[in-house]
Amino acid sequence: MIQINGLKKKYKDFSLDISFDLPVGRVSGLVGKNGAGKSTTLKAILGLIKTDGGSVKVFGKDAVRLDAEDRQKMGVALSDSAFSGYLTVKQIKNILKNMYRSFDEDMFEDLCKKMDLPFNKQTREFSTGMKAKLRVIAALCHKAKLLVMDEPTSGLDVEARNEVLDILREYLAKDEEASLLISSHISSDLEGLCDDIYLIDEGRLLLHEQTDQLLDKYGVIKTDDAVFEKLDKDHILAYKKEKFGYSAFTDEKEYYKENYPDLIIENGNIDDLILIMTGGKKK
Amino acid sequence: MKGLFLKDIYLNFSNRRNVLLFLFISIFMAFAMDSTFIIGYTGMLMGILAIGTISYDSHENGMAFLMCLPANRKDYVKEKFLYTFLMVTAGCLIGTIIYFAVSAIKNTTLDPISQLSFGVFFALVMSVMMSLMILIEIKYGVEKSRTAMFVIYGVVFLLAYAVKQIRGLQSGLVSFADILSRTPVSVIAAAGLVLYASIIAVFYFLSLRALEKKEF
Repeated sequence: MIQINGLKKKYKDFSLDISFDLPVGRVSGLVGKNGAGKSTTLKAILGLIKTDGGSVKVFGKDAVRLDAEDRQKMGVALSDSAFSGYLTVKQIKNILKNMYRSFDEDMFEDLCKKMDLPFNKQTREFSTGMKAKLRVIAALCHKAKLLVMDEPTSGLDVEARNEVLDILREYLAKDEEASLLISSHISSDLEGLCDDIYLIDEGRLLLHEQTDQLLDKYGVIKTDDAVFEKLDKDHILAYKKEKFGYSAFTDEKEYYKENYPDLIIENGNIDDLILIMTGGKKK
Repeated sequence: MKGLFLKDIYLNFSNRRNVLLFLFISIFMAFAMDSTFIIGYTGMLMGILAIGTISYDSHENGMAFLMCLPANRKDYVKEKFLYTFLMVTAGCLIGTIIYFAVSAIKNTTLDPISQLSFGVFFALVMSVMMSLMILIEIKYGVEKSRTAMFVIYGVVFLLAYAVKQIRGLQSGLVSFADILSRTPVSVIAAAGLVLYASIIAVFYFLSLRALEKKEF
């Protein structure tokens, strides 16, 4: 679906240099701190920016050459961009119906009702959460094969986030060939949704791992200075100085459990991954 | 492109107050003035409404999302030109109808062929002006376009002033007008249409180039 090979984009005080693939049927998450390069990567995939090097291919075609026919197969939800707020949900439905050949009007209406979105109110009067829900719904109702979502759950409360994630899971379960590339800074969203995770920091890819591997094999060791000094650091990916000593991120938590039975080892999650890999010292 | 048309129609006419205000001003102008000015005026108002949709589209980075819909940048520019042309034509038509209606009420003598010709002429002139505005809005964005329009009108004014001041140019214009008066109307009309189409084509391609260079 997507092949990114040495994508380069330079801004005044930021440069992106990244490579990765999104195969058919894969659900991949992009994580990283604000300004890490997640949105720039997604914009390059959508052909919204020009690149300074490398190649970005979507459906085997250069992203900047995507035409209307290619975009029929894409569902996009951006965090900072949508239809004008002067349009109502009903008007947006009619616009989408006239844009997408496979637009499912019933699905759109059902999802809007399920999410309590009023049909005849201008969307500028919507709350942040309502706008976020509408962006996701608009991306899902035309049988897209490739979904690209930038922070789709941003601004939603826990309940609404779960509702949106459930819709996404349902969609992906119905069509196993559909792929999703999603960026989020809410790690729990991605843990329950993505097959694999890409960690980006300062425009570079720091880590790529299967989500289940990340949750099973990775862990955070919390220890005092003395124990940390003596610790075998062969399987430590990064560590961070804390008030109590050190937090160290490992990709072999079982090794440390077996060899250091007194150590406190917490299960790894994406928050730890971001915090220690981007904020700590890498080995 | 149908979806983009629908979006612009919704954006322009969802606010009924604006449309009613527009009609009220047009009728008021028609009563206040005994000229075909009303035809061009309504055409211009409708054109400005149409171009206003670019501001709606650009508001809160909306263009990024629009460029992800199944309509590429060429479709977007094409739609803006077509929509604006249709709106200007509709405006001139409404202006012509208002003009005839008000003239009938005021019992003014009418020359329908001449007035309709004025209507068509105004529609063409207005659509050229609006095409230039589309180019400026797309190239410079909503905020900067106001300054750009001011500069362009300033340059046009200075050129007109220069023409008035330079005697050689004045006499050139007089002899040009003289040639025109001796040229058959059909030839002038054909040349005018070619010129019109050429100007619109240049503005269209410049607008497309400006949008293709943009990043969102």
